[in-house]
Amino acid sequence: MEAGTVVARPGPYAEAVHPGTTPRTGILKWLLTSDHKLIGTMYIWLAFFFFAIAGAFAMVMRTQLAAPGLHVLRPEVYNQIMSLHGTFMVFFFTIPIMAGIANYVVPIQIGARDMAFPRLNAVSFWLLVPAGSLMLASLFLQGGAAAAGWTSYPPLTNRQYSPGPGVDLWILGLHLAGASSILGGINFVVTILNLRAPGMKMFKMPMFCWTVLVTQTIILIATPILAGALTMALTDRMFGTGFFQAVAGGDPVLWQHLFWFYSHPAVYIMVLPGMGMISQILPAFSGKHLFGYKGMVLATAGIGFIGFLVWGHHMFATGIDYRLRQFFSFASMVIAVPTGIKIWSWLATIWGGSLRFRTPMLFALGFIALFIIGGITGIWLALVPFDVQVHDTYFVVAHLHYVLFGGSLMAIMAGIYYWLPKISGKLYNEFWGKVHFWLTFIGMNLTFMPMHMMGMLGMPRRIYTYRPEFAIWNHIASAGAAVLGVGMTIFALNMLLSLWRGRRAPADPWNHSDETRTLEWTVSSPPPAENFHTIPVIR
Amino acid sequence: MEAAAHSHEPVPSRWPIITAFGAGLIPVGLVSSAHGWKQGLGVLLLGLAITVYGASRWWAELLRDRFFGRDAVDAEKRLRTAMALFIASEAAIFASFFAALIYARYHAPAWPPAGMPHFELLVPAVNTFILLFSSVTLHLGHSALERDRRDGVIASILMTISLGAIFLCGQAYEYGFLNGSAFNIKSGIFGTTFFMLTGFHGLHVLLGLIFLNVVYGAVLRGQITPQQHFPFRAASWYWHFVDVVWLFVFTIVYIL
Repeated sequence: MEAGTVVARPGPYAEAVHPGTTPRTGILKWLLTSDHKLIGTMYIWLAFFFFAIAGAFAMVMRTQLAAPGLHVLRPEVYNQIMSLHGTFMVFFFTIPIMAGIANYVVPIQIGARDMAFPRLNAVSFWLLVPAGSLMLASLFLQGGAAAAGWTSYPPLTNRQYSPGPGVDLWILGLHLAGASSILGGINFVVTILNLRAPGMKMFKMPMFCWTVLVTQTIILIATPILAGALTMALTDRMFGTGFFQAVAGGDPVLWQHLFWFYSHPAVYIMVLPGMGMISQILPAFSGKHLFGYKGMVLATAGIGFIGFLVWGHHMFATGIDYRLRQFFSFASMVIAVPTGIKIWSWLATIWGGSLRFRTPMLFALGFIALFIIGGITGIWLALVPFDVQVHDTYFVVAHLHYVLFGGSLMAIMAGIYYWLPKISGKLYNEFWGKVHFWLTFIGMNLTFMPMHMMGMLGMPRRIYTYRPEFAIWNHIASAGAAVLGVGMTIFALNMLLSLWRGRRAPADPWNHSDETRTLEWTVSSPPPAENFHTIPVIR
Repeated sequence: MEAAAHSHEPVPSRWPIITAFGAGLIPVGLVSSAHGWKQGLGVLLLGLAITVYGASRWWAELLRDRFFGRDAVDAEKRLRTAMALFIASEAAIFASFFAALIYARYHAPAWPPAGMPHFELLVPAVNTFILLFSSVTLHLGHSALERDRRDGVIASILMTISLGAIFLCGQAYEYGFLNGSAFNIKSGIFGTTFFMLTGFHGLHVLLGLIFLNVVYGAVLRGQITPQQHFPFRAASWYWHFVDVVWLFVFTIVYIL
């Protein structure tokens, strides 16, 4: 995976500034930019803004659930908060921040000056602003926000059960976010296919670029299906069509098929770039190159492909044909094979290396540990008899948080700690970074491990209160959430302090060995306008 | 200024953010008018106008900088890949509507359900022929373009636009005698899938027509040359795509 020897190629490209334009300054520099580094930075800020909101929702929920019979929130408000927590974490934090980091890093890693379509890149970002604002605004309208969970199954979303504008705004907000994803997907795929520097062959690309390529391809195929389903839900509500209306001969289960045809691959959209980050961070802090590079590439593509064949495992309880159940059950378990290839390759990468336990490395190792737990409960849930038993209980909540918190979020944190000095040009406090890691790792397990027990005991998810016998597990989970809250506050303060008065970061603050240094570490921190004075040639 | 391979510059532009916020106004207007706020429709139209205006100014910038700039040879490959991917994503949206139709048919006790009309094949068959023929005329235009015969290009685009317009008229005519109190978009899943699929396709024909009109303007201004004609190629690909989708609509909705 090493980028090979970098040779500067003197090119006719010395003058970077467009004749007749002066660089903008102040707020307009950000609003009108089409520079991938500024856009990537704005993506990251916006995603963390939504993360703070969705995280605050989670804190409120865990407060409500801290003991049985509490009334911190009214039930209908709990449903709204719960729905927006999921929606924001998935569509407005995890997916955009992956796009943001990729936006910043991928063009530099492949030796390009920018994304293929800089203006399209800007519109992809800006569409997220009205999209997220619409959803947030719906909280304050008559009838409140959408309250049918992030999955928004009909008939809950039918007009008679959700009469207010909340669901309409939810649908249209996702439409805008989806358009942003699709345009971004086109941009990333074209960038990676067409803008690589001379000598940067596909199989020389850093692993992160490969995972972004696969992810964005998934986005291109899957997101339009969600757009179609959202359109159907909207016309059902506004124009009286009958797609999901049983009385009209339609079927609410059709929504589930279409929704999960997008949303299962969306799990890989959220975790594959994280795996790409891990695949760069582990070698960087082990001093060895990535083990089994080509196998990793194939495993990534394999996960992307099989990810389209497993959507039905979310629907084992809907009464779909038993042959379909068998197929989806088998296909879901097959995903363990490419995932296993990845995990063994990571372990082989660090095996015998000279490890440096810096903050990004800790998060990367934490990712592996937690993702394995989420993967194993995933295999259990692929088993139809077990799944039917724990369907819609907290066991599913535990599983998905081990995958999306233990997987995606730990990887995002690893990536942020790894690339932040490159992006901001400032170093952060290593001690508080490690404190953040340990609080997150411990708090995460305290919060979500007990949910396995709640689920096994039969506590249903998405209900604002519960029977007293589940109390002990909920006490532990809420205490864990408090630990997570403290950890995230430390993270925010550490990052802001680093931006304010951190020490200057050198071009390569991690002292990569020659075989693990990718192109972004060969330019200054932050990189100059247009990234490279002369386009590098890769040998 | 720009000569190296892979070179292009991030020029600041105000149109992406304006287009995005215009697009953000559309849902505001739609939802508020659906929930009884009369001015909502105005907001919707304003949002639509801003989006279209922003996109067209953006297009003008692209014409100035990208398609015909000095790196156009390099840009051509990028743009082609992008257009192919865009069409693939459009195909996926259509796939979701076809999936809805096939799912409904698979689960329905009878198709068409009792009381629903059987479709007359005459109008859609003629429409199929017209749309296929329009693909041929556009392809002839592409050949004419490669031989640098501008009159041929103009004639072919005008022919294609006319045929597309005739197709839309045919579809409107068909809607006119099909759509009634017994059969409309609200009359159960049969009406829903019929009108949504054909309507969504008709919308794409309309978009294709607008695209062809824009390219026609570029041809008249001499911005389309045998060497650099990406906009023509893109419009042409889009038109052929819409044509192919119609073949699926005709087969699955009308014949099967």
